[in-house]
Amino acid sequence: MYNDNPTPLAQRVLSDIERRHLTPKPRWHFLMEETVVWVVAGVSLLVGSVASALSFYIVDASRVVEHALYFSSLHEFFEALPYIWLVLVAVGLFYTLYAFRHTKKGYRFHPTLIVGVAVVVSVLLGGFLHMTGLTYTIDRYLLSAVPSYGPLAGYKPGHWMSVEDGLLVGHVMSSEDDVLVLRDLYGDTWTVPISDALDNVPMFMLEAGMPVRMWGTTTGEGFFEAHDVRPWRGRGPGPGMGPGTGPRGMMRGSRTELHMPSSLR
Amino acid sequence: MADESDLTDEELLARVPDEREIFALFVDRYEEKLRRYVRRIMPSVQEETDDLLQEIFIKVYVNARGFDPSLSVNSWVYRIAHNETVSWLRKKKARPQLVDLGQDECHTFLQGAAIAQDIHEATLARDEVSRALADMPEKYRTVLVLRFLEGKTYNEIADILTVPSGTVATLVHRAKKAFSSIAGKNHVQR
Repeated sequence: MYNDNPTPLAQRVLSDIERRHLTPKPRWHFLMEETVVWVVAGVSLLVGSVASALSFYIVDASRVVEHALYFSSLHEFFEALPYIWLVLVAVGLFYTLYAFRHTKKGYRFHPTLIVGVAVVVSVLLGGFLHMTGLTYTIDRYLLSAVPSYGPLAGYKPGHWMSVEDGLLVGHVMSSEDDVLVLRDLYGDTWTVPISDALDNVPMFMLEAGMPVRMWGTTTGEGFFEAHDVRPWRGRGPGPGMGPGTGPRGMMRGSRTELHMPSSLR
Repeated sequence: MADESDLTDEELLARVPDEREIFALFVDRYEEKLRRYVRRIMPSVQEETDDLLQEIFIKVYVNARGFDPSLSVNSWVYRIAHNETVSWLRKKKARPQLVDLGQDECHTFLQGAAIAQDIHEATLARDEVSRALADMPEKYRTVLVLRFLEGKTYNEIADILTVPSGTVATLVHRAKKAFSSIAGKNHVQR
């Protein structure tokens, strides 16, 4: 006997342990608990990072800021944000914080510090994932496979198709002597002199089939004088889009949201 | 053979999973400390305190292998005691009527907390201090008890309550203000 004269409470505790057949939990139980918490924190951080990568990609590929600046409209900006990914960023951060706080020493760090570090890691890792091109693949796949994804992820290619506002989007059909022939998102053909735009056009070759967006003015039926022409990569219209693929009943040239053309599916 | 009573808390706890009887020594070492602490947080009848202490020690026993050596055994045991007491209070949906405080403890508390600017220590009776503590939100009462009655450092309190040390400093500051305000109000009403 270690203690010849245990207190009544010690006696009660020992007999209760015996009566309930209690034994100390094994060490692996605690290791498992700690591992699960770390895995949850890691997965949450990864989900947040992927979501922030997709957010970067969409804001970049949809030219959200550029578009809002063109129309000087905050409304345009907020309308085009990829909310589904931003919500996932927040969810990822929340669970990272929650799980990290439940690690053995997590409570020693202030929540603001944990969230701050998680944000930095999400941004860095998200930026890296964005650079690998993974974001393009995920976004493109979801756009074609999940019909409800587009509206939730700010997919509005029609935002760049508004002739009366001086915006035209489509595919180059041919390019000769500073004149482009372009098929727009509704399948209409435009003749586009680009001599004015040449100073603004960055170093790229205008090739047949290339998706482009341009700024300029209409100069007649089917004529558009471009002041600036840019290739539209990423979330632009897909190649091979034929006439009549625009949504039925949509006014030509109106700045209305377009649905994903069937040729992209 | 070395006397078990010479073992440190860490050594004792390490032997508990394999030698159940040695746990009686551990209970002996912590019984009075925890009884005092529990009664300061949750004043209750002796039997209730014993029941709660029994649950606390059983939790310690069952989780003995989960002890984190980066903590002191003392903080770890207090953490378990704190969590069990709080959940006991929540289960009972009870608020303490008075916090169990002796005259000397009352004096130590007021001196330590330096709460005597607008309420002179001499004019604040022991039962007023007890009532003011009882009237406080649980988190404030706990930090004041740990800091000024149990004499814990900010880091120890942080380990017991599982919050950052900076948060402990803020809690202590707010708790002192809350105590002054409640005690002052109660004193005027008398």
